[in-house]
Amino acid sequence: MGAKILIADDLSFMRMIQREILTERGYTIVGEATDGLDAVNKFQALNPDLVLLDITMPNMNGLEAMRKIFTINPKARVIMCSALGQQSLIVEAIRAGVKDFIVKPFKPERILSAIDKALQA
Amino acid sequence: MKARYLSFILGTGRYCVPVEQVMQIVRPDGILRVPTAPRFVTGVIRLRGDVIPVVDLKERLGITREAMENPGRNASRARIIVITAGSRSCGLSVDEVREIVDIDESLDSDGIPEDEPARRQFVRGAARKDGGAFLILDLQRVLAAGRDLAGAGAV
Amino acid sequence: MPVMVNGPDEARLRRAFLEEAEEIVQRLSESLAHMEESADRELVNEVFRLTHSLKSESALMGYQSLSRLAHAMEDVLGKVRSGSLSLGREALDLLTAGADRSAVMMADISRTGTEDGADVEDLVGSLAVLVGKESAPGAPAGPAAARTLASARGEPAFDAVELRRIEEARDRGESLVRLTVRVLPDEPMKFARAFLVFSNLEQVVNVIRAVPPMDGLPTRDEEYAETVFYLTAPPGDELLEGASRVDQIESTAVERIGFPGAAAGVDASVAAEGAGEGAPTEPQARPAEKSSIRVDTRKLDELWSFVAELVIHKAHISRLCDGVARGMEAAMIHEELLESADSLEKLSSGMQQAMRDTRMIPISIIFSKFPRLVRDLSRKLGKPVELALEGEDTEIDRSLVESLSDPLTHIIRNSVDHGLEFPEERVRLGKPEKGRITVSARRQGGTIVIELADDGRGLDTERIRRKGMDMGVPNASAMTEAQVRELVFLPGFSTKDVVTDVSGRGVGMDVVATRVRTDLRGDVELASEPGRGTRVILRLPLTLTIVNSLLLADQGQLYAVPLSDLDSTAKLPAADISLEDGAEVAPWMGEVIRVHSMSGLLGGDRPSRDEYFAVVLRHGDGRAFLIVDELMEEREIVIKPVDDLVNPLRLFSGVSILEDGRLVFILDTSFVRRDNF
Repeated sequence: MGAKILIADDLSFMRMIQREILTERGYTIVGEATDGLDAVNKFQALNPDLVLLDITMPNMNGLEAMRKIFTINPKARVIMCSALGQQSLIVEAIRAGVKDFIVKPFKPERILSAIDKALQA
Repeated sequence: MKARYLSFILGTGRYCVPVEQVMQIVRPDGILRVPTAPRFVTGVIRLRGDVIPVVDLKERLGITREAMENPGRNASRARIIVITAGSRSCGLSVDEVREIVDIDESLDSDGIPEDEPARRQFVRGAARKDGGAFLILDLQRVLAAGRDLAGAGAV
Repeated sequence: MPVMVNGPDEARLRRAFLEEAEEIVQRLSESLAHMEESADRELVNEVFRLTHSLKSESALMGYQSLSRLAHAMEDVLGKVRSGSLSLGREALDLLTAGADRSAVMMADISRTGTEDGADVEDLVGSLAVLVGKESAPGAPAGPAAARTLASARGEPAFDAVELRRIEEARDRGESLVRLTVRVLPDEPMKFARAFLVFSNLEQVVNVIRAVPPMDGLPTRDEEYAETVFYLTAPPGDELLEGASRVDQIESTAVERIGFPGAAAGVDASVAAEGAGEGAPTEPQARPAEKSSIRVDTRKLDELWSFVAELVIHKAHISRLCDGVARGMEAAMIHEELLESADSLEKLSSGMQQAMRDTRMIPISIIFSKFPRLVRDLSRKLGKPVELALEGEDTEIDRSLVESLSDPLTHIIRNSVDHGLEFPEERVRLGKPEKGRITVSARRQGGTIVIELADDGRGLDTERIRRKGMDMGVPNASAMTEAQVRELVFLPGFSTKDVVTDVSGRGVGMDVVATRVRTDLRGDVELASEPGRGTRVILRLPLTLTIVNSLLLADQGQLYAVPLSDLDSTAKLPAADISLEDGAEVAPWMGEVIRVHSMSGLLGGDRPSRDEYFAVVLRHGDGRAFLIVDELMEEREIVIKPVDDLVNPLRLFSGVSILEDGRLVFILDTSFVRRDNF
């Protein structure tokens, strides 16, 4: 049985890529969110094992969404996705409790390895 | 009305610029190449933390051919004269820096070369002194960065 | 990276470097040979100076391995000078081997222009072991290279607060641990990885210090390829291993090390005395915080009032729009708009100034280190010194704090070490026994003026002039006194050449001059009365424009895009590019946007590849791809104005020069407009 993963990213092709990589590995994508608010709502409703959050999204960015998700479940597993120039945001996210991050553009092995590790913890 | 000018050599000619516009004279070292600059800009130098363009005056004035007729010229005398014009600063590459001269600007302008219109546009006057002609540079024109330099992608 | 200068200039630079460096290595070998017979203080100082010069010059040229080797040698010689290491057989052999290896490396550089293939790890490691003899009793786990690098840095000198924490931890039964973390080379955000480990560690153990530090964002991400954490932890490595079990970490090395000052008894001040001397690579004491800052609430209030005005203004514009819809007269609209534009102009410059003000902090943050520094120096050298600080409230831009600290410290050291006479001599000269140093800061218009004055020997102009003549400075004999004093800022001048004192270390003022004049865009000048004292006067502009940007490379030239103008980075397959109305476009996020290439913008052609590295630029609502050769790292860069002559197409909004001398053009993204379509 594959772990349940929620994908949040405002770019549809990003979500598509992630969906493809993860389903191939055997994970179950329980939902896709297109902005921060959507991500928080879906997290509440679907209770996934792990969330892939993009750090810049409209309507509430990844950082805010993550904080809200932690208030719903402090043990939530969150991996933050970011573009090259956003190290300061990633550091903020780490302060807020994110356990891992991935820098785009990423190779499939990277995202899988990060998810595997996060699920083991 | 007399005014003081710094004179220098380009090829076989003597030129000068007003002394109060001269900031500094440096050796032509450490010129950083710049890909986007027009041909007459050799590159930039760092001066007191600022980035200043260096203009190859001979190239700008179109007198390269003349310079080649003087192969014995001592290249080690070459210098960059850093001038300011308004809020802009620029370095001028010259073959040799000479003395400061007092020139009466209102004197005749028969020293200006008639046969080289390209050069004329950069010279705003001339003066005879000590048996030679000093061509006074028009710095505004020298520093004019025309948009006539075509670049494909620029909107 | 080497200084990026093309063609004949690079060759000329390299020739000049080689000439000088070869001479240094030659003199180094000779002096070391002499040292075999008798090593007097003079000789040790000379060798120290030589390795220091070699280190600096090769670093400037980008020859990292050579610089590291020279640095390791300098460390050893530093310890020999201070008496904490004796010049035994082993040390001499290593130093000689170092000199020999340097000569070989220089021959390589002379031939090929690079030091590729040069491996100095073995020597650097052995030299480091000599230096760090007190540390690392346990066998460290992890790759040997990591161990060498870490211990080559030497132990930091912990400050009083850190020592207390270590003390308390020891009482709890914990030990002091050095945890070295290496990030995989292909990780693009090394600092964040290190920070992740740091964040994990903080939850389970007591982190004392991180090298490089964890506060604020780094200017060079590569510095965090290897991070060393000093922490205290109970026995057993599980906690540490758990915390460092982070993705993209290549290796973790755990070493239990001895407590500082353990042998000499726990005397915090004794251990801290090493703060002035010791490992030259000692990390900077507490750089100014960058990620979270303290701001005077009054400044925030001012900003708030601007925001309030902005809100009012926005309402005004809305009403104007209504007016237009209702058919208001064009002339009236025009008038109102003009007024609006005027107010906005004032508002925006007011806000900018207010924002700049929040960046200003009192200079006391730098000055506060000086009393301790002076006390330490004074004690070590046996010269009683009195320090007076003035104008501590003077505010300077935050960004200056880190860059100013070193030069000021350096100048003070010089004063105490060389400027001030020993008490006996002072008394003999009729001066008060205590030397006096005054550091003052004041604001003068748009400039900060910092003065450091001592009442010591003053500059020996003739000595400087002679040295200048020796060095071949043209016209040295005919220079005025003021010009001669300027000579002190030339590389190659050591303080030894400047005053009549012959002992002590001699590191030059050229470093200060570079830092102040080039990096800080300011100026430094010297004033002196022989026999009465010396004054160093620094003038610095109040503000620097610093922008967080992404560096890009294309055809050998560096460019930067401010992060605020950057949407994202991307890989663009050539197959995605199509032609529409004569312009190249490609799909992005459900729309189709323009495709530019850096080479295209400059008048050339887009290179032919299957796939391109690109950034997605943003300007207002507009987006566009910009194809470049390489995407590099994120950096905070100081933007300087660029003249039109160098920027005829107005492609750039400014230019910057990196620490290594490379030129970076900052892109002006206004060519990206939504109405491209």
